[in-house]
Amino acid sequence: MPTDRDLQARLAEAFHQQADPVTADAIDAAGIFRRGVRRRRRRIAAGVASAVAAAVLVAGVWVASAGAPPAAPGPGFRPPGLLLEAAVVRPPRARAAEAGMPPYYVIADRGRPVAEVRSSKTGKIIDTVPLPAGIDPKLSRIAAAGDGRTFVLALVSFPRTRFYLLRVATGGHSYRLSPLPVPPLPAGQYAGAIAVSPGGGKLAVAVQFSGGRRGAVEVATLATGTVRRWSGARPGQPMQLSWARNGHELGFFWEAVGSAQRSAAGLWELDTAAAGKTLASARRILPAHVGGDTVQSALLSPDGATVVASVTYDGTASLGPGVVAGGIVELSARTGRPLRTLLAEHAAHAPDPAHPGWYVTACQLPAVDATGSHLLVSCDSFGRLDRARFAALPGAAPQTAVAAAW
Amino acid sequence: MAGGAEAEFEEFAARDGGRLLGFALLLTGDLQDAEDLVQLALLRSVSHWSAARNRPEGYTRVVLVNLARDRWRAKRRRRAETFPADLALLALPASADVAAAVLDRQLLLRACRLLPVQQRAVLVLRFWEDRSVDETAALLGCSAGTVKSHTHRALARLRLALQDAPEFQAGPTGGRRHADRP
Repeated sequence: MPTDRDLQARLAEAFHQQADPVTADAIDAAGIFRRGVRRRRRRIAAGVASAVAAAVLVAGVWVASAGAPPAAPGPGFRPPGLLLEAAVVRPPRARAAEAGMPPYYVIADRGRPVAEVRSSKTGKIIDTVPLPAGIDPKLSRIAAAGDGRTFVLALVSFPRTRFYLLRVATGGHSYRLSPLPVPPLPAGQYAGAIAVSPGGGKLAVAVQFSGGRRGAVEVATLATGTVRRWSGARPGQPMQLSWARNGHELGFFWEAVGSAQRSAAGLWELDTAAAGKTLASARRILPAHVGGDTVQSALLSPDGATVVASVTYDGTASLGPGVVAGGIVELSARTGRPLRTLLAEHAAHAPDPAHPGWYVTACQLPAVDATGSHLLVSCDSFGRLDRARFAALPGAAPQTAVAAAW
Repeated sequence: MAGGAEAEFEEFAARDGGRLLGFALLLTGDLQDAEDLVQLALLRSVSHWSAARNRPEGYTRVVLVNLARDRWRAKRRRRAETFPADLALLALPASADVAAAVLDRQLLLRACRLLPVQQRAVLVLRFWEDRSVDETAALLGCSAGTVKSHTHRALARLRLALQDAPEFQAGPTGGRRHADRP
């Protein structure tokens, strides 16, 4: 057995390894005074409101940390505050909510090598598109150009990822699947997400490397097949991509690896028309950790003015029945402030004796349409969110990762 | 809260917040739990600033230890999701030394989390912050004798807990154990 002195030395080393990385962060103590008086305009118990207001205190730890990859927040950046505080939108009537909705969506079957074209209104299958033999359907990615006809699929036939163009016409009843003249991702690199620019001219790919510690963003010009890459400098991965309508600004959600890198997590905006080869040139729009709230995923809206984000409250205090502990919110892309809560999720208690506690499902945001008013979401169930009105759709099992676009 | 006191608190939080977070992390073993504890502890300190202002660090640490003792945990249910890049993780060649060192640390930290919170707090102050027995006693508001007995018992319990981990016995990284330290 080790001696006391040896044990103490090894204990000290273990403590330093675990705790030293977080001690360099600063705390924005002023926030507690500025924001402590704000009230959440929602059905939340007072205890939760105060606890969450207190949680903002440490928001500054993550928001204000400098030197984070891909880049530190720009001048004038301010912590946006509580993400779930905005008023919950009262859903409009179904007809008004659905106005302008894309007529169909394309969704990958996770168990079979097929993609389905389904009616957005009813979810019924309009047509089934067979995918190339040998692909792993669980790893398929789908993106839409927003014109209702042009889709791109990233399909993995181990170990390579190849890209295909899917043209759908005549109301979803006919299709043509063809390989794109874009170089496949080599072995050891995977497409975490893809996005097609408005008009269909460019394909953005969130490249994840084997081991999960590095990532990059690529943009391929579909007409020529030329590819431009921006590499991440620090541990982390891009998770979601979204183009602004101008075809230059690209949103990517950065998932940091390791607690020390956590201040870099969040939604970033990359100007793909500007010079540069690293993601350090990007601007962070929204940090992933704001007080007790955690952004699970986020998309830049097509007009570039707002962000749609899936948020959960991760604090451990004062949850209870009826408490809004998660949801989908719309935020200002300029200030990061929450504008509206489009979908509110309530905490539910699980009496499992092994893991008792309050739970909330983290929503996924597979796609936003060209108008920004209609989302495909996967929360407790898969469905569409039309101007804050949720309607369940078939095609995906509850609480599963979904590859879909419209 | 008066402007002067507010400024005092802000200065305290800016100066000591990071270390308090590290302290809480070592008490809880989980960063999110640690953040929550620090949030609550600072809120309590600022609410009782007239009592805390003379020795805010010690006051907040005692609150942290108390909160860690009876903290209430909530867990969020999340989908299990495998990202593509994770699939090749297992195929990565790993350095035996690095793996052994990580295992060593993990065993030790896990064993630490089995200790009573008060003993854990003493170990963290003594061996992470390099505090003397008297300083530790002052920070935790107990006697020097209590710190000594907590240290002794905690190390004995750690040794006992690690008896079943033969990979720990010889010190897997040998003389390179402190190579990562500056």
